Amino acid sequence: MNAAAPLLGFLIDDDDSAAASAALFSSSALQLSFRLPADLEEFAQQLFNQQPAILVMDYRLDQVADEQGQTRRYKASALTQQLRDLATEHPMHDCPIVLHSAEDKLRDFYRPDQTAHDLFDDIITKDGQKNIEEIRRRLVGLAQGYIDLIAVDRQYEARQLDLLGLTASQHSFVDHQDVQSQLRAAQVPHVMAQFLLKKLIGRNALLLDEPNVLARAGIRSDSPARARLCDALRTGGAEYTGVFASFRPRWWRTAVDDLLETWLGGTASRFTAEQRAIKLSEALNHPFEAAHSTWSGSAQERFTHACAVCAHPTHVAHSVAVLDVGNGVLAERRRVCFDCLQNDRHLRRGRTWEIDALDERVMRDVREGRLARNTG
Amino acid sequence: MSFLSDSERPTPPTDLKKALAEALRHENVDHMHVLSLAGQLADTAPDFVRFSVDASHVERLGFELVGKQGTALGELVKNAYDADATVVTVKVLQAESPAASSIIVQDDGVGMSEEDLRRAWMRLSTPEKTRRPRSTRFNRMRAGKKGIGRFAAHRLGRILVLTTGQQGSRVGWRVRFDWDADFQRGADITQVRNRIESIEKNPQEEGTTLEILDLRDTWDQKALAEAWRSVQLLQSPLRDRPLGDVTQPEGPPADPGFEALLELERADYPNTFFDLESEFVKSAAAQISGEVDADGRARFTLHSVKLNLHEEHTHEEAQFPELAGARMEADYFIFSSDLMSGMKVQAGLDIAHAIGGIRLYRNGFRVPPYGDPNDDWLRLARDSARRNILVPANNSNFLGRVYITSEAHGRLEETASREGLIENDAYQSLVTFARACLRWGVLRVGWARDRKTRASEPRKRPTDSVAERVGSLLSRLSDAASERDAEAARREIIGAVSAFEDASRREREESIKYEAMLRVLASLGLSISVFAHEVRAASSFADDSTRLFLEQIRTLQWLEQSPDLEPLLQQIDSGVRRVIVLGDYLGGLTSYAGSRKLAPVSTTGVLEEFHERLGPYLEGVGVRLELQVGPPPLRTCPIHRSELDSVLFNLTTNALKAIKRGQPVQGEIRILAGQERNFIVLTVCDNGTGIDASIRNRIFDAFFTTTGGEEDEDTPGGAGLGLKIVADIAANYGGSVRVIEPPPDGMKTAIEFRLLAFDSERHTL
Repeated sequence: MNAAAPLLGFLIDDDDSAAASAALFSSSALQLSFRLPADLEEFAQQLFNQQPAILVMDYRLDQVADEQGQTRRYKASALTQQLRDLATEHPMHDCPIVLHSAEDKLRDFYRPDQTAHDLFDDIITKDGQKNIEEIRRRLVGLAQGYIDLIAVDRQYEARQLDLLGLTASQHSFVDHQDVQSQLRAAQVPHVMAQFLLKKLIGRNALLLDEPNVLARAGIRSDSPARARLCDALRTGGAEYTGVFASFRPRWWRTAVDDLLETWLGGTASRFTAEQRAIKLSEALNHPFEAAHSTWSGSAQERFTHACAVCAHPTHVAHSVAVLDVGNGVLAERRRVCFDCLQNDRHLRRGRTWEIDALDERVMRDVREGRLARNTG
Repeated sequence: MSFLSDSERPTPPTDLKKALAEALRHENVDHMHVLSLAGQLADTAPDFVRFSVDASHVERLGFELVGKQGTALGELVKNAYDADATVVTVKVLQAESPAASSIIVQDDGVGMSEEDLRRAWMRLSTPEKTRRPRSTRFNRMRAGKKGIGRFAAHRLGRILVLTTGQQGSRVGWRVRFDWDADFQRGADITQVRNRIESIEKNPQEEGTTLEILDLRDTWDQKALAEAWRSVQLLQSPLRDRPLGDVTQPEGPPADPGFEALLELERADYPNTFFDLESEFVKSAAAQISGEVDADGRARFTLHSVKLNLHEEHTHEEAQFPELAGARMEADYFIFSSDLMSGMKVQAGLDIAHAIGGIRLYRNGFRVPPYGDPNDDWLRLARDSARRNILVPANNSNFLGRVYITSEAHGRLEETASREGLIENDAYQSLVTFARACLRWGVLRVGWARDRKTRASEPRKRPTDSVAERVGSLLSRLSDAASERDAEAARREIIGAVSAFEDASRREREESIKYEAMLRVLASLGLSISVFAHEVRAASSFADDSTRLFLEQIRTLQWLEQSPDLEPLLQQIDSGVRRVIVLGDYLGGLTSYAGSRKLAPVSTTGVLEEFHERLGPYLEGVGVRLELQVGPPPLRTCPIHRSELDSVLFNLTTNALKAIKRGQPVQGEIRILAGQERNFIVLTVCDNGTGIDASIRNRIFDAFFTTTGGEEDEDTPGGAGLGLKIVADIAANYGGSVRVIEPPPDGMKTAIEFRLLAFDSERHTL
């Protein structure tokens, strides 16, 4: 779906050292130019007028001086609000907006369930852990996704099969009131994008991420054989190929479950990880290694999902639910495995997850070391 | 040369034979006269000599052998115990004069038959208790052994009336002894007649009663208190557990226990003293106990609820095979307001001086004088006076007991006076065992309180022992035998207070300096925190620029012709990476430092994150970081998370400096973590230079640093506060920090940091 000529975008930062970041995040498919911020309204209009494919911006745009040399301070959210307002008037020029910041608490602002101005499509953290190739892929994926959304010219409901990469026979995958209502209601690309990125792709709901697919299959998340499983799922039509597909790879939950049921000879949750690995090895003619529980160390567990912290397979008896407000009926609850819970990984910086009160007693037993690792 | 006067010269044998024949011809034989003549005749045998005993010997066995009234009373109580009594009552009936006063010791033991009386009780030094070391009814290990305890009655009064009877018999026996009148010097003891009479009794009744009349001493308030105390202390450990060997062979009924009661006619002596004692025990800082196992290994245990300190230790320096089964327990008191809950320090000191000490119990009965106010059998007072140990460890700091039995510890024999053990090598072993146990306990408590505990350690907080020292000097002052001694004690008190003032002043100065440095560090921390965001952003840009530079330069074809450039590029990459990792770590620290909330922390999780963040940096400088972590979660007591990070960071950077100085082939930092009872224990080891023994005890002092010298060109001079801060954090959370000697295999240094573990009874998540 990539255009032959590179897409054009801007990286905005009050520190001109960020010019290097703009160049680094650029690729053959997307060219980012560096821009220092200027007066808010004028700058927003300027940016919009240039119809960028994507905008990447620092959160604190502090060092902005006007013509009189007066420092004007604003944050990326203010600039974004201006741009979103302009895009609402001219949806054909809408584009993704990505945060690029070192703020530890940025995720708090960004978290859709904590801020009223959930304006950004993605975040890139300024730290030493970043994977440049992945950032480039994500940025291109976002830019291309907006282009695809703009192309359907607000006919989201009518063009939903094209948008979501489904065949007519697969319409049942999205035949849910939540989805259909959003497709009907959205009038501008960034609103549609918000739904797709945060409710459909961003959460394990109708679509699953790879760790959750592997957990359902009972396969080790770091197993090289996972590529073989993905190939088989892809061949079986379970891969999500719709808008933003290259932003984050996802798999249709219904299709994954159906294929696994065929290969395993029954619903996956009926079998232990070891049994699933044996049956998959036979069905796909490839050796698969069963996942072992991070809590009990056993492969005799009936894994149902991936831990939201470590991504390793776990199940309800060995995990607790994260408080999850306002994410609709589709999203599966995030769960944290006992191992992460006991080692406080769910509290690491950047994470402000709260454990559901219903699981509080279990959480205490695990964190205080009262629950033995070889028991439920 | 002759020892005998003319009147004492023997009668010729022929005269004796005639006199004996004459005596036997009488219809009413005078048995004593016959015995006397037969004895004299036997003494004339030309080929043999034999001992005889002067009647005044009972005085030696009684008055001279048993010095104190309390000890004498205790001996009679022990006899009741040996007779399988369950209760013995001691009544002191006071009159105007000692002569009119009396003491009655009444037990409900098995009593004696006429034969028992004649053959056992009336026989001196009978081996009965040695031949049959256990009592007949309850299989008790007998407290007495030498068969002379009954003469303690002589010590107490001039007349003894013994009444005894056995169950099932309608007849009992009463014997009267008039010690001073009948047991006269010069008479043979076998010539002294003591009237015995049979009395009617209820067949259900049994036991023995000793009525001691015409008392030798005045039983004033002090003597009564002493006697009462003696009886109380004699039995105090017995209330909790059976005496002696707790194993009971099959057959005898279970021992219902034994209680000695003191009834005073003048019952105005209140129970306050022992009520106070029980209150006093509640204010103990810790309980220290020890026992010697069957292999002769001594194991010590320490429990302190106040300090949340619960430890065990096996004594490796010596073994005690002759003490197998011996055990001891002691309440440990520290006379400072923070550890004397519910009791004023001075009140505690007063009680401690009166009743403190480690007493010795043999077969469950106290062996005086061990643990008496002026006794120092474990040399605790001597050690404290010589300052061999700086934590409180004087006799008055303990209320304790050492238990031995005659069966298991035959070589620990009481002296005939019942006031001490024979000081042989077994006794010395016992002293060594008890001293080692107490010493270990007080040193551990000292560590827990983060205090210097031995004189070899230079830093000493004056407040630690000044009260103790002045308290002991005041005791010396009040006990001073002469004005000269009193003056010396007064001078020492003034000296101790002056030394305290000097030390306090120095400490105050040091503390001001330390606080000033902490302010510097705090403001530095604030600056770092403020700029952490900028630092991370800048390092991120540097990272991006370098990546871009490397990516682009590697596309240039001429690079292939310049192979020397690639290593240079890798160096640039790795250098920037290290900056990034450190910037990231710094950001992490400041993010946690923002929280003021104390929360229990998973040490496993902290170490995991520490390894993730700092491991790559250490790897970049050629040092391997290895974690050996015990089962999770190793959750701490509520703590500031950033403090634990700070501990790890300080210890690790110190290790890194040592490795840089030592330059081992492969630098290695090993962090061990685990839980020991109520503590989370972190040990950071490295294979650097090691810590010189001469500075080992100073490294936790403020401003002490080994960096910054010429040999440390790479390492900036430290402020000398890192380890001090680590020690302060440990102390803040009930823990300690120390150098482990020797370090684990392959390591040169090991520093152990411990803090209290999470306790669901006290803490919340």
